[in-house]
Amino acid sequence: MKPNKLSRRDFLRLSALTAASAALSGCTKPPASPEPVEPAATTPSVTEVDWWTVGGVEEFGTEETVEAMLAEFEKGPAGSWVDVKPTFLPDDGFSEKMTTVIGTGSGVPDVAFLWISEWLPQAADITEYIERDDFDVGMFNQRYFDMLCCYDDKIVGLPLGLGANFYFYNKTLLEEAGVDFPEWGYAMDQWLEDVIKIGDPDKKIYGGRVPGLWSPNFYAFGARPFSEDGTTVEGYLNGPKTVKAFEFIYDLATSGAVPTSAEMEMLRTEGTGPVDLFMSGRLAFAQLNNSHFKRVEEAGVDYGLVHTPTVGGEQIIHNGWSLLVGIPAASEKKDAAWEWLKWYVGEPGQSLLMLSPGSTFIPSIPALLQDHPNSEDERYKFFFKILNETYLINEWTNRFPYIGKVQRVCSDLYDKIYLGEIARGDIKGELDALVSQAQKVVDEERAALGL
Amino acid sequence: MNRLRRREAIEGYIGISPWLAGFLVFTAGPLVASFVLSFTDWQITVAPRWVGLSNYVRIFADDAEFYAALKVTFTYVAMFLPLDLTMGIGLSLLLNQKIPGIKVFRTVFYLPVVLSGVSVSLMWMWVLNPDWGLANTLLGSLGIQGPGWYWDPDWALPSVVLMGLWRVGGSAIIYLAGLQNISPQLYEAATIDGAGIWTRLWNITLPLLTPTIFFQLVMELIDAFQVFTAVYVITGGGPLHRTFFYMYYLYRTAFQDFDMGYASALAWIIGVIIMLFTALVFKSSALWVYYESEVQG
Repeated sequence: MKPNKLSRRDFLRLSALTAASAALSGCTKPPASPEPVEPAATTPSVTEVDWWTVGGVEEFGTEETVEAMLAEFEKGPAGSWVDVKPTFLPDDGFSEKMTTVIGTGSGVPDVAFLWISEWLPQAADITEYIERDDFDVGMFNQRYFDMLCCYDDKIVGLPLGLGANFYFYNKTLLEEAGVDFPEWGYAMDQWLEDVIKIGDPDKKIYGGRVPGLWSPNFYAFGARPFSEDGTTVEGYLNGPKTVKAFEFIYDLATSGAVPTSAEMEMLRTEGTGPVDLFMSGRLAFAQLNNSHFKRVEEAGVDYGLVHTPTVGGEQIIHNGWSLLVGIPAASEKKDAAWEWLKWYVGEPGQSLLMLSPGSTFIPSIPALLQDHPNSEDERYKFFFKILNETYLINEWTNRFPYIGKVQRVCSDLYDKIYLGEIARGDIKGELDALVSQAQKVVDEERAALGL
Repeated sequence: MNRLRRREAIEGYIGISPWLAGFLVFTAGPLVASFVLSFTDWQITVAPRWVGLSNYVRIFADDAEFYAALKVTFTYVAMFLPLDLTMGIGLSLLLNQKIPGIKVFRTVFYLPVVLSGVSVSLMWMWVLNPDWGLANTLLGSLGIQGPGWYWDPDWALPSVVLMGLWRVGGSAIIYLAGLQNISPQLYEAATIDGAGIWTRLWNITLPLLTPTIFFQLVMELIDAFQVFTAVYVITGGGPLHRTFFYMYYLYRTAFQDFDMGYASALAWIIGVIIMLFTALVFKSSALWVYYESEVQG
């Protein structure tokens, strides 16, 4: 008797049903496990808080530091009912992931950095929590608090840490070229002179680099892409101060003492400036920030610090920042999230970040600075002087979400200058020609914002 | 439809249901969603607002960057496609030779296809560095002053073309499969009749390869319109907007300017453009594609 063989139709039918069952079972919720017998209630249930942070960046805390912070938080009163689960995201992927979850409203973390202004409409208003707990926001550096944390008459987060860009200079290269070390009040014209004197293209030694488009060096001339109230382009984008700024860039780009754009592209890391060129001793002046102190020292460069060179009659300008940490409005655990937020960005958290071994973190709470391990270090004193005595251009630019789009209008002109494809005398004409395009961007963006 | 046929159809759909679910969720659904979004003003973090055709009107009537991006993309396609087709066929003819080690060559030429776009872009950035890159160093040794490549407005777009052509091995392998389907008896018969190498190429190889060429032309055309990685990693659309590809413009609009509605409209426009070009190729195929099984006359 022949054994029963599976016919082709039956085989196909069986395969189809198996595949469909597998697909459908993947889409269905697992069956609920039987309800556990609850023990006698003596403790409140624990709420899990999903906290997104950036991994691999010392300034935000290494994984060991974060573990230590979480252990410390657990010892406190909130630690008995709040369980913080950190998710480490790469620096360059954080923004895209946050944009996606905020846009879809699904998978939103409970606490995260809110460093893109377009996210702020979806940030929770924490004013109520601050008032309820009598949380002292006055403990923070008020310039940064006012600059970052308020949106549409709401408080949308708290500032974590401080940073600013300023110039590092290679003392050895300056000495070899017979250039005096710069002091407070260092002028832009003097800087150009020094850069040209130091630069030696044959040896690939550069005095400085061409500053990025609309970097603080532009604003140092008093240049602005539009008026103080953000409405008018004519007379500002093509005004005498902006023309002077672009002409200065032209003089620098054509001096032969700066790296080419190709070289800068190759050697730039982290998007924060020509770190590699400076650390290899080939760049005399580099615009870096306070987190680079240790790295540059370890590279063996004997360096000094100076502010963004200044132009007569204008303020000393810097680009300063702090990181806004907040609670997305879509979070369903705001109470628990607030407990972590106020601890993390408050004195306990920032203190731990500051004191962790090898940390380059600067707290945004002035009262903690006296305990900073490097508070007597001349470099850190210089950094604090920058923060306290110079104008942070972000205080103005942060008021205008559309400023990036307006600044971008000048990108072709900037390229032409860097590539040597324009005469110095034609710069004013080019800026005049860009005014209508920039004004259009301003008008459209302000209309979209309801301004 | 009788009961048996109906049951068979149902069983068929059940069989493909996993794929169908994936298609609906990951392809058809987003397609429909992006089409609807293209009629809205959606800044991601606030609810979409219906604006009708205003995105499309703005694109065609008021967006200089749209036309700049289209111009760069069309120029690239016009430069890249003929070179890719020619080099692909030429390489496949070489790889079709029966010589020792030919399999090693086939592997080597195919390798660029499997490498990640970002790492390849970074590698090319180093190779084409005008100051000390490999390309200009080799040219310099021949007494030729190399160009500025990605950093020269006149050479930036050709540099992207060059980078794309480096992956011609993928096309060559497809053509190789087509070549190996051509019956050797045709060549034998032609040789007996006194046909030389070029005659055989022109009258046997190319005509019988046209179905493969047609397939590759369609695939490469669609790919060429979607160049993004090299621009994103290396040039950022510059210098002077010379590599301001459409896909980069779309990405910038969506993920840097957060203008999702407008970006969706841009996406649909390029989708329609690609479909039109593809339809043109399909329509023209009757004139130049020969299928061996076709009955002529």
